[in-house]
Amino acid sequence: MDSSSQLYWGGGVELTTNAELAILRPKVVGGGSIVNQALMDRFDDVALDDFRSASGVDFLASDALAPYYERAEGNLVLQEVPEQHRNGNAAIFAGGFERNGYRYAPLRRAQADCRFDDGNSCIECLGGCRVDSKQSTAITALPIAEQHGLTLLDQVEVDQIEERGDHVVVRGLVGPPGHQGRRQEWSAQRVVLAGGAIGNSRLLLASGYGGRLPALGRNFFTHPQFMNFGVFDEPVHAHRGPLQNYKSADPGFRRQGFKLENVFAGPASIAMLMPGYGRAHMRRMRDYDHFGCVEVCVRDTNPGRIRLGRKGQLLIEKRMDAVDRQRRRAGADAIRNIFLSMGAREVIEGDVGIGLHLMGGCAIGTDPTRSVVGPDFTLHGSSRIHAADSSIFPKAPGINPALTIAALSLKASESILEAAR
Amino acid sequence: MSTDSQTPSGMPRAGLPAEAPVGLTPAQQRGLLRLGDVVIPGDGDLPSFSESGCADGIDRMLPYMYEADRSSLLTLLEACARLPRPAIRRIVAIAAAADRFPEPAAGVFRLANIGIKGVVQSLYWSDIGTGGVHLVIGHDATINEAAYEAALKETER
Repeated sequence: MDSSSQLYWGGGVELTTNAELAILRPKVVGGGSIVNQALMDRFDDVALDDFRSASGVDFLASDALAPYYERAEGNLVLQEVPEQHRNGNAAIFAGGFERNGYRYAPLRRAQADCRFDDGNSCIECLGGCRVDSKQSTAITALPIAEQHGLTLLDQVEVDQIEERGDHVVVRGLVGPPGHQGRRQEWSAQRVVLAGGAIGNSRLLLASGYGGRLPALGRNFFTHPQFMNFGVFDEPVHAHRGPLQNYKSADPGFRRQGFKLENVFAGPASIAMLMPGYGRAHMRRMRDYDHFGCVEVCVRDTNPGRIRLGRKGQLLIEKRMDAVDRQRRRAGADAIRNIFLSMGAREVIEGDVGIGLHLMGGCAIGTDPTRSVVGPDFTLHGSSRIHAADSSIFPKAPGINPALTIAALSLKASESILEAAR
Repeated sequence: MSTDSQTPSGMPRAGLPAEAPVGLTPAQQRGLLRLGDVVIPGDGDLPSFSESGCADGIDRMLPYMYEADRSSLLTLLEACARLPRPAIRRIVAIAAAADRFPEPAAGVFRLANIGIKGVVQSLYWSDIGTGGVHLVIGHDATINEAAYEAALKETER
């Protein structure tokens, strides 16, 4: 409960305007890399062809990005979960895929040594890794940056940015939890925005950039995720050991616009996802240790929009249209097949959609009327404000974004350094 | 839990605790227990919400909510302190069945459902009270930090 309250904006979740999706937006230094499950895949041609088509940016292609992917991968320890440590939930996933003729593959995770022989359960790492195995930016990038002179200011909420000729001014509130904060102003030759899709969009909108950047806040995607449960007679112990082991690798699923992963969560989160209330809900929760769990992750097609309300408040508009709902349904049907083929006595579909791959809002592109950031990672019309995170994605890739964020950041750093010379 | 709650720039900070301690009034506490017992009435060796002793944990949750969410929650809890139990049950039932209603009413009920669950279910199933609910359902996830620290020391030698 404490990690959810303290590591995410809104005290745990923020909701879209129609409350269809619960947005999980980390507010911890290191962002998603602290709280995610560190799944590291390159984007395939399907994703990058769509990116290139939507943006007109030539380097969004497998060959052109390969050197940056290689460098990003070289900065991390990447592993597959050793077979002997895979848990009961993984066995259900693998067995169900095999019995249904679906293709699957082990997940590649950014982790150094999870010390499974000590009895560690990665489900605990959703609140941050306590054995320094997860390759978050706090472990990888930030220490190196500090060696090169980075000064990190935490507990700062920036709310204004303004470019003034030869420099950029940033204003915000500084202070530890429990205080309203004091206003402070910083000046820099250049600013690189890395507040994510919502953070970057909100900051630029609040700073008045919406008028000259009509695409700002638009094309927002989340890969809506829905966890489904199979109830088994024998204990599954899905909470023990490595939390995630496998993903779908089925071309048919890719064509249909969804992917599946074996996943689980702690009791408080599972209780949120379980439909119903009262004794019926409690009886379902009593089966917690007997749950197998697979999530469907939708490659969403219907873009959302981040905007500010009349009082300046954040509004996250994001709806699943008929296509996105069909994709969810197709994934849920495949999960049902998996669970039933493995002997589940009941299949339960979670009733809360989650958005945690937060992408877009500051899309990269060549057309200033349809994008926010140019191919040089600089805001259209600006020479000193740059963006280099998932906010620049022009579409939903349908693949976990972390590795591509790192690769594009390396590409962006070259471009920004070149501009600064 | 917010549709419109993040502070505009220049306003008090979003997502950080307010200056003044944030807690429940006695009426709001009573409302939380009554609402909690409708959502979690107890079942065999699983205690009810009020029996579990988890309600005090709300003081660890409230300060991090957006102000608009916190205000809506406190209003709901005050109402639950006064409403007859069947009325509370009706509110919870409608919220839980949100998708059976047409939009935009469904969205309002979904918001209520996630808000109620976000507080009541999170408090109870985080096992911060005396109910021992994790033990009952078999949740025993751990991280062996002691072994890791010992290994680090060994490496440093």
